[in-house]
Amino acid sequence: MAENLLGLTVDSRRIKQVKEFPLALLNEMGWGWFAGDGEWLYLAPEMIGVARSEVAPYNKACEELYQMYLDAAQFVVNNDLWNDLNIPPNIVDMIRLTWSKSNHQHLIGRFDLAGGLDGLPIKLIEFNSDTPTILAETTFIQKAMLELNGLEKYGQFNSVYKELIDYFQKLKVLNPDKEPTLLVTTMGHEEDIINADVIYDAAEEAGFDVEYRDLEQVTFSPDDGIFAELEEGEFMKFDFWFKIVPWEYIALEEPELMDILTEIVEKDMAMILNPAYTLLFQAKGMMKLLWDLNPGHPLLLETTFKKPTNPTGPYVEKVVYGREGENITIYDKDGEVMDEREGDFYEFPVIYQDFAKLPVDDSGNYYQPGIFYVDRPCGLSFRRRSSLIIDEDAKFVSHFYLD
Amino acid sequence: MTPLKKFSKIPVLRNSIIIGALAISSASMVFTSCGSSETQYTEETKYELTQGLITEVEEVEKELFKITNETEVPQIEDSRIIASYIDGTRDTFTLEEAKLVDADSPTRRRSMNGVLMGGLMGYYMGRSLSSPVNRGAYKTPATYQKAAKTTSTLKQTAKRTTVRRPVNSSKGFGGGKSTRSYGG
Repeated sequence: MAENLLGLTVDSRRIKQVKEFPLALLNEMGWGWFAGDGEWLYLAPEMIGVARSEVAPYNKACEELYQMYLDAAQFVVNNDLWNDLNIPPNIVDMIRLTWSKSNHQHLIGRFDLAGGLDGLPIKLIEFNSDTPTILAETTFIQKAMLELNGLEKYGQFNSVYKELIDYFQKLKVLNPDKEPTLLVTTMGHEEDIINADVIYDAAEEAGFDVEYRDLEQVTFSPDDGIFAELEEGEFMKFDFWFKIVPWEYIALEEPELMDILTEIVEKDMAMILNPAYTLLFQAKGMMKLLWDLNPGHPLLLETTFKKPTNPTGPYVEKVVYGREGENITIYDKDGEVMDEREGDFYEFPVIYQDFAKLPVDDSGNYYQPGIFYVDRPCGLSFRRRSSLIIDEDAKFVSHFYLD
Repeated sequence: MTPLKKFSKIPVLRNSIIIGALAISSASMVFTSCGSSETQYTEETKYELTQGLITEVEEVEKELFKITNETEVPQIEDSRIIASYIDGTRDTFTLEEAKLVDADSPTRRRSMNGVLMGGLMGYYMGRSLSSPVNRGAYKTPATYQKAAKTTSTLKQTAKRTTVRRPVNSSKGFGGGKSTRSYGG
């Protein structure tokens, strides 16, 4: 196994050639987008084997990281560090409000990690706590991949869907004064809608009355709450709203909506998932605070707001609110660019984070593990890319237990 | 293998509510319900005309039109505008055709449409049914008086729908943003 500055070549026996996920089946599930109707290959025709003894440390790491995030968020709230973290001022009231009430529970997040295989140390890259995706692939596709390839007997680390159902059931108990009605919303992109599908189904299985609307079609009233028009003139009020619409987008691009939502939550007319305080976890400035509060912690990468002057290895520059690998640059220790991506988020300030090694296969593909968190760590997913930056062209790789 | 779930409840295409071109809404009123926790709604009545109309107009002076006759017809799609021009020629239009700009004589067409808007045909062109016809649009007092009677027939035969929305509500946020994923 070769190790260099950028990655560790994993045991090739982990990577198993498998059948491609059948397009017809994807279409039947309503998820033909994953295959671009046969035009591209997003679901890798290989699976990666993981030892149970490797999953346990991922779990333990994410339990510990989640607690660190909770402590750091309390530190931000106590010390008004909103500016330091580039939290838009118009969302601060909403963050305080949701943070202070125990019934505003975090539904789902995904830790993006490095390492974890063949003894490579686990490091936190970032926490997708507000609008995590890769949900459909993790919950259903990789489970189906096990079955399609006769690997059921091995199993995999994946109880995300069950945890989601349990979560929605708990939500009913925590909010006895609310009707179990959930409106699911995205901005209308097909990938986001597929992710919304999973939430929709889990809530429905938990006994919620669920509807879907694009954000543009949702009616918001600061006096009465959140509504969808079922037929012309016939409005249904929803006591719960799940959105794949980032909080920073609402605060910065739709300030009027931000104000209305704050009033709705203040008057307790709807519960919004994920709650606004998850923006604190999502903001990459938080990575610096985590490091400052836990300097040298083995799960963390050193993070600064200033470009390192004497780096000892490669480091990464990324914007405080970025998505899908956009607006990221990787520098070597001499400050030379090793890889970079442009994108839509260039106007945001940046952080600098030490580079963490990823597992790499014989073909030079880097594997980046993600751990879903619904009340507890509950599922593992891998994305892989032939470049160091895991961007929107990354493939999804299903996993199986080696033992 | 166990059957896979079928996910098709969320339509990928946007839900769009198409409101008929001939729907006309009346003035809205605030409807307050009892109990402070009840949602308050604004109600509006929308009228959708079900009968059609044939309007005859005459060019009495150059580019000055007057309505000479209006007749109801059972089908809305049979609505027509019959124009007699000062040079003795005639034209027949459907409502859609009448709305098009005539490249050869735009002023004449605009003038004709202005008169149509003042008469019963105006109700088919977006004017509220509660606003009366304009006396100046008619050639004779008799035609004008007849129009008042026809208005009530049109109103009686119109399909009424009461639509309501929560008071003080807003909609349409995040429009046109579906070109990228907002997940992470």
